[in-house]
Amino acid sequence: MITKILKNVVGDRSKDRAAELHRNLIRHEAQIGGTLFGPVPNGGRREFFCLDDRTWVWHEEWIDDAGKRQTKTTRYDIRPSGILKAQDGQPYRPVSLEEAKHLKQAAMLYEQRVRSEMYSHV
Amino acid sequence: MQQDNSFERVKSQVPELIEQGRVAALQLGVMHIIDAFDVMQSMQKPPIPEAVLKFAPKYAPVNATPEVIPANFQSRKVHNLSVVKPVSFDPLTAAQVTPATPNMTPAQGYAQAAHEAALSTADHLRHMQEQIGISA
Repeated sequence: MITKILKNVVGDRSKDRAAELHRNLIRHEAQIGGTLFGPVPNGGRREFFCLDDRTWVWHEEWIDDAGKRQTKTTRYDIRPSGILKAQDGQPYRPVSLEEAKHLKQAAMLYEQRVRSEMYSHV
Repeated sequence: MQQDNSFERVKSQVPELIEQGRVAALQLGVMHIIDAFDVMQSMQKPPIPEAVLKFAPKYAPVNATPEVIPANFQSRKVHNLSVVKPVSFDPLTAAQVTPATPNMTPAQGYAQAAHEAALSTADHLRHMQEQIGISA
């Protein structure tokens, strides 16, 4: 019984640790992804990353003219028949061919940069 | 989101299996985008060449399709009913003949048509018998 409990505790900790490491990897990828689109304005922050094999996320923070901090998160959902995007809780809508083309280029560049800077030894 | 700037520290903590999973997800992620983009591109209608645009209006609307009925189209009207030939009865296609009564099923239509044909034949025989002087 005690062995079973210990196994569960160790197993849960192991899962938690794996999840935390996975998050850390994505955070670092997101930093690299944020540099793909040129300089970020002062006080702003940009992250672009692959959440999973069907989801890409763009997060942008900036200071507006009134000095107020603004954020916008765009989530791209890749489906076999096309690409959809949702911004800040709005419903999904299809992206234009032009936007899909830019996303494809960004994703290819992202993979190239991330693989060479983070996973070259894998 | 608090940034972890020490990638070396993160890297030292990460089991290789998690990294491999991440690389696989990345590869799939890019592949799925490329596939989806190709599908989207293939669904785009090709632009009409400029030469066609210049040429077409003289003869037909550019978007004309065979399904479009010309504006000057008039259905042929039959004014003289005497030219309308009666439809001959064919038992093989009886089931496809539109029933005379709207609520009649094809089987009922067939039965009615067969009955009418039989009556017609009997009338014809009676007429022939009268002509040649034979009584039934």
